[in-house]
Amino acid sequence: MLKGVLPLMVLAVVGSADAYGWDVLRELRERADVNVGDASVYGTLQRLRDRGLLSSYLDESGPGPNRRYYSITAAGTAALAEDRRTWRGIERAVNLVLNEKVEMSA
Amino acid sequence: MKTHGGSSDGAARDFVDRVAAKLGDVPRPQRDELTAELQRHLHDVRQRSGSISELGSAEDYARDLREAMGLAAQSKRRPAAAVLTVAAILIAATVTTVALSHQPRSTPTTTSAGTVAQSDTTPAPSFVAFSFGRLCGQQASAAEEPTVSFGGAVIEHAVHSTAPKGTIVSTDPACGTAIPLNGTLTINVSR
Repeated sequence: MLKGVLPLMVLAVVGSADAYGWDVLRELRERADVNVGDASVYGTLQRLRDRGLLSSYLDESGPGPNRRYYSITAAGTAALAEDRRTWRGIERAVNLVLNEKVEMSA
Repeated sequence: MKTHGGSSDGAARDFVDRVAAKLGDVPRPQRDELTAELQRHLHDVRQRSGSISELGSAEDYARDLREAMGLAAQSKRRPAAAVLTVAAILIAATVTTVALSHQPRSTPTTTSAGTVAQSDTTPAPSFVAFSFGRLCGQQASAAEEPTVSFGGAVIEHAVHSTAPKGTIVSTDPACGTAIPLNGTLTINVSR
């Protein structure tokens, strides 16, 4: 079920601040407590960029291999707003159904 | 476990190589980006835990990466009809086609695209060198009825570009490069 909402979560993380893969992973795992695989996050970042929702650039400063940072694009911002609305609708619908079941079984 | 030294570097390099091997159908520029990004990631993982073993196998990593990128399971080929359609674009744009047959010949035979179509009735050429310089910048929708079948896999990849939607932005191998008849051609089409 997580796979379906991963693009939305990654888009939201990058939308709040430019980030590279490691930042996104840490944000999802440590702050949102989401159990997500490393490769899934990197693959999702690529896919979002392919769709024009993110852009990327290299940070060549600092030690180690270069970091590839991602930024949200105007199209990404619009998609995020739309997906946020859709998600709120789903959340409400699922909660309604789940609560109903709980009451029925009670 | 040591966090530095030749063996750890070797393990990281090996991991990157094995993941890259599973991305053979990804256009080279993107594949290079993915492997560079993976190198950075392995660097971070090792900084934190000293080992990349927590990532599991390179093959599983590549599978998850492909899935998240929306790529089909590796080596999945497009339906024959789609292959033919793209072959038609190729042929329409082909300036010169050089076909070498299985049988040894004294000199390579240079023919037009039309002649290659006829060669379908003769033993299939093992190698075709396309000069498809004009393919780049063409509209993917400019395809005409196929006149010759291209034996390899054609992978169409939608990319973000300022070029008009449907334009072939690039190909892998690059324009003008010879490709094996049964090889894989990736065309990057502006979305």
